Formats: sequence, C-alpha cells, structure tokens
Amino acid sequence: MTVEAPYALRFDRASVRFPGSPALALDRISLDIAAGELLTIVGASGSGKSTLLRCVNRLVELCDGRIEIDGRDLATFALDPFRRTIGYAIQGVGLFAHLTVAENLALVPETLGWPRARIDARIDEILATVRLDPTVYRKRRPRALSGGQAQRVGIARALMAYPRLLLLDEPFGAVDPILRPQLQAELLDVLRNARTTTLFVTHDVDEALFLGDRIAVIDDGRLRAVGSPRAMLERPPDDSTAALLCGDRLLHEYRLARLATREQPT
Amino acid sequence: MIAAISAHIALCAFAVAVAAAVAVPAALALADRPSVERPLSALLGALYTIPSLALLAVLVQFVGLGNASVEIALVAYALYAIFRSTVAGVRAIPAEQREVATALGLPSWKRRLRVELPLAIPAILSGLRIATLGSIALATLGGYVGGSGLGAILFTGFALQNRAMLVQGALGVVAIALLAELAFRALERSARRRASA
Ligand SMILES: Nc1ncnc2c1ncn2[C@@H]1O[C@H](COP(=O)(O)OP(=O)(O)OP(=O)(O)O)[C@@H](O)[C@H]1O
Ligand SMILES: [Mg+2]
Repeated sequence: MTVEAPYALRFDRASVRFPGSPALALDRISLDIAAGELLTIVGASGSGKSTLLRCVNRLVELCDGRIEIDGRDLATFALDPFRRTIGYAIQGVGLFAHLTVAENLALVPETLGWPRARIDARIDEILATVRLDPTVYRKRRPRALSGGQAQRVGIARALMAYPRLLLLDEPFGAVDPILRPQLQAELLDVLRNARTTTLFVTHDVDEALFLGDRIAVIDDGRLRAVGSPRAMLERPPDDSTAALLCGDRLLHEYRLARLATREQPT
Repeated sequence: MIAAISAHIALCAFAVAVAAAVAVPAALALADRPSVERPLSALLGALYTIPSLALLAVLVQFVGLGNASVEIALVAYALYAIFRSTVAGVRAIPAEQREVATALGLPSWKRRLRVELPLAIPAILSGLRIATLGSIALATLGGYVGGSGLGAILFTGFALQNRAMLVQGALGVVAIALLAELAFRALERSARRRASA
C-alpha cells in the first residue's frame, strides 16, 4: 500500500465572485499551507469559509488569482482524478441516502480500483477510528443514523482513501459536546499519523485553537489574520481577532491552558 | 378473453420496456444539457400530440397491418412521459447530493448510475406509470389496424354490434389499468422511502 505524499497549497490573491453579486466572496486571499499542516479556519457566518474550501476542489472557480498544489496551477489538474485524492466532508454531511454506510465509504476506493478485501478491511478500520462499531453500522442507511453519527461517517468517507488533502467543513457541527473533544483528539491523532494536509472549517473557536497548527481568521471574504494558536492568543494581530479568539480573561487563560495540554508530547 | 388480456398486457409491457430502455439513459445523459434536452423534449412532445388514429393510419402505410404498427405507436407515445419524468427526477435531486458525487471525483458514468439513477427512481416510476396507463388505453386502437389484445375484441364487438363483447373488452381494459395503477403506486411508495434521507 502506497500512501502518497500530502499536498502543499498556495493561495495567491485567490478571488471569487458569485454571479449577480457585486462584492467578492473571496477577496485576494494569499496563504501558504505546508504539506502535512492542519489549518483551521474560523470566521462569521457568510464570511467565505466554505467558499475557500470549495475553490480547492474546484466546485467554485476563481475569478482572479490562482491556487497552486505542490507548485502546480490547480487549473491544470485533470479534475476527477484530482478530486479523488481529496477527502471532503461537507457542512450538511452529504451522505448518499440510498446507499448504506459501507456503500458510501466504498465509492471512491471502488473507483480507484481497490480489491474488495482491502475496501472491506479499510471500512472496518475507518469506522472504528470515528468510534462507530462496524458490525452495527456498516449496513445502516443514513436515515437510521443520528446527526452526529452521520457526520462521523462523513469524516470516515473523507479519510477512507488516504487522501493527500482533507477539506473538512464544520465536520463536528452536529456531534454532541461530550463526544466532541474525544473525536477532536482522535482526529488529531489520525492526522498526525497520516500527516495529511488539512483545511478544517469550524465555528468553534476552542476547536480551532485546539486542532490547528495555525488558525486563519476570515472576515467578509478577506484573510484577517493567520498564525499559530499560541501566537494568536498571546499576540493577537488586531482587536477584532483578539475579541474573537481570546474572549474574556478567564476564557483566555483556559484556552492557553488547553493548548498546553495539546503541546505536551504524547 | 384470457388470451386477449395477456396479449394486451404483452403489447403494452413490451412497448413501455422499449421506450424506457431508450428514454431513461437519454434523459440521464441529457438532464444537465438543456441545449439538447429542450429541443428533444419538444420533439417528443410534438409526437405525443399527433392524434393516435392518424399516427396508426400513417404507420400502416409503411409497416402494414398488425402488431408492429401498434407497437411503434405505443413506443412513440410512451417516450415522452418517461423522458420528461426522468429529466425532472434528476433535476429534483438535492443539489448537495449531486455536488458531493462531483466532489468525490466519481467518473460521470458512475455518478449517473450509482447516484442520479437511484435517486431519480421514484420519478422514473411515475413516468412509467403514466406511460403504461396511456399504452393500455391506446393499445385498444390497435384493434382497428389488426393488432391483437383487447382492441381486437372491442372492434369485433363494435363491428358485430355485440354488446356482450364490448362490455367484456371494456371491463378488461379497466381491470388491467387499475391493476397497473395500483402496482406502480406501491412501487413508487417503496422507492420514495428508500431514496429519502
Ligand atoms: N453558489 C453561490 N452563489 C451565490 N452566492 C454564494 C454561493 N455560495 C456562497 N455564496 C455567498 O458567498 C458568501 C460566503 O459564503 P460561504 O458559504 O463561503 O460562507 P461560510 O463562511 O461558509 O458561512 P457559514 O459559516 O454560514 O457556513 C455568502 O455571502 C454567501 O451568500
Ligand atoms: Mg459554510
């Protein structure tokens, strides 16, 4: 089994304008993301977080600027094969309603020509990773899953075929607060092992601080700030970032403390 | 009578099957291409509005008397309902589901067969139901050009002014139509359950 090297990404003044809208949905985003880095993206609703992810798998086309993958212009990749190297979990889960959990997970590996036995083994492995018992959930259809379970299957599908890049759009949005930290820690583990480059969109500032190698703050289509969680907490670049990320004093201290638990070598 | 009923069913089932084999793949392939789909829909719609007796009369000129003319007419009429309902069914799939299939990088044939076709099944079934009921009614006119089925009984009864034959033929048509309607409704219900989130 060969796992291919994770992608490095470069946004170079990437801009998006949706038809019929005067404002840019993404306004000259410039950002380098190293291979294997986990970048969390926070920002208000409608600020352009999902759009940023959707440019990378070209569900949305840029109107200006460019995106490079390992130094090569995104626009030059053969679209379907390129997309199969990306794990994508959308905000609304997006499992296929007519397929079982196992069938949902198998779609991409089948397309990649994996042998059946390998697909089956990987399904069991990946379901266990997202804490779903394969014997119970393999044959379920999405409508028989809770919101949080469906989201975990969505993440499993994104991870299934050893992607070179993960685009996760609020993947834990419907996971309950009790399981959430557990899944965050688990995902962090998986990603550290796989060293998959990851763009992780979230509304949850604590999640962004805990998971991210760096955090990007998006506001109104612009990249406001980007930096390591510690740097952002200790020296926020501006007042609005400080207000968003640091919170009041107590919260600030709690966030620094939680960060310290993550930074401890495991 | 039993022979006439089974001949009638065979006539309609064959026509609907042929029409579906053409219209469903065509609709799946063209649902995303309105520039081709729209003229084709218009063409099939025009075909659909030709009065059936006129169409049969023309077909007999070329194909001759008998079931072949009837089958061609039935297929021509069935195409429209099946094509339209399949296109509508594909377009009614939630944008999110189609988008995910795209984002996963599934090749387009796989997108159509594994995602769009199954999710459009309820709509396709309703198109098949409409086409089937239309065929059951229309096939009776086949009696006029020497086709088999209940149409033969009806036309003979008419020619002989035999009321018993007429009533038998008409009841046969109603019974088949009713059965078809009920069967398709049941299929549609279970398909809708399967395809819903
Ligand atoms: N397909 C589209 N057509 C037109 N406008 C769009 C489209 N998709 C997004 N937008 C607009 O672009 C802006 C950014 O949307 P986006 O979905 O990226 O926001 P977001 O940051 O992900 O928000 P949320 O946190 O609510 O998910 C919004 O103003 C939205 O209305
Ligand atoms: Mg979003």
